Amino acid sequence: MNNILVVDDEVGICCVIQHLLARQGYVVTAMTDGRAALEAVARDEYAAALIDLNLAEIDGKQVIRAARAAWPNMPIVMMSGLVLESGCGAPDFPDMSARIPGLYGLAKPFKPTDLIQLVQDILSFPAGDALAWPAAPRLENPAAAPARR
Amino acid sequence: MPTILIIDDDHATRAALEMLLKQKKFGVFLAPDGSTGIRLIGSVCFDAVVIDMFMPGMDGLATVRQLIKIDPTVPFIAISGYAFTDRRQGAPDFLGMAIKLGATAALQKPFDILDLLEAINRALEVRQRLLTEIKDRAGGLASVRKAS
Repeated sequence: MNNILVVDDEVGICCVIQHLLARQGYVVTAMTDGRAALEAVARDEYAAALIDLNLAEIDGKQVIRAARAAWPNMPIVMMSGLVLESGCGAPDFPDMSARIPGLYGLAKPFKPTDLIQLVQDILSFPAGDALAWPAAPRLENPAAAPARR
Repeated sequence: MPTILIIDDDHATRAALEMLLKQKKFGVFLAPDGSTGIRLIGSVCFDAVVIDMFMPGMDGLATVRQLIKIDPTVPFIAISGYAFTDRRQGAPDFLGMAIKLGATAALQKPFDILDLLEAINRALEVRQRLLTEIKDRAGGLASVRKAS
């Protein structure tokens, strides 16, 4: 199974992620509508899901919870970026992913190579017991460092 | 494969640059306006950005200012289809302004694709140099902290 769900309310970002992963041979279902994503994760099984935390209409965490409830062993990557206007930072990914097995963080802006590496890494883990998964890989992004607040 | 973002409201320019740069094995992504481009830059680290200076809504200079706020290490190349360089007429030199803001190159449309490729390669070198500097400084700071 190499189908990946991507949920981000920004069409352009969905397209970029879809393009990057499709080039690696993954089949990508991209969604910009959080409510449609809620239905999709309850209905369809994916090898992994990449879900933006800041969706337009509903909270991305709601989609993550629904995905986790429907498919306890599906790896989920939560994505989040900085909201420049508000100055809010990204959530504490290492802390959240340490508490919830199979949950990984990807801070925006991410390098295309980091996205591909992360997806390859999480899909290389044997499916089954989510608790047996190793801790989330740490991604370094020196290019994004100056923007951190 | 270096990834390049092209921000230009002109569909024909976007399509032509996409085709030409893909032939040269670049990963190419497109944005039809400044705000879309900025949202993409906020999500993906591109190796270089090509920005049209004249666009409706958020213009090229405003886009450049936002880009610098998000990631000052991303090199950008300014392109423009209008030549307002004659200051006697009171028209501003937007490409010159882009250079002052840090553009690694400024090209007047129509430009030779070889000039754009040269500008992109130079931009990628600048990017690489900046990332190495950041890494070195971070390494230096870490050793100072360790020593103290």
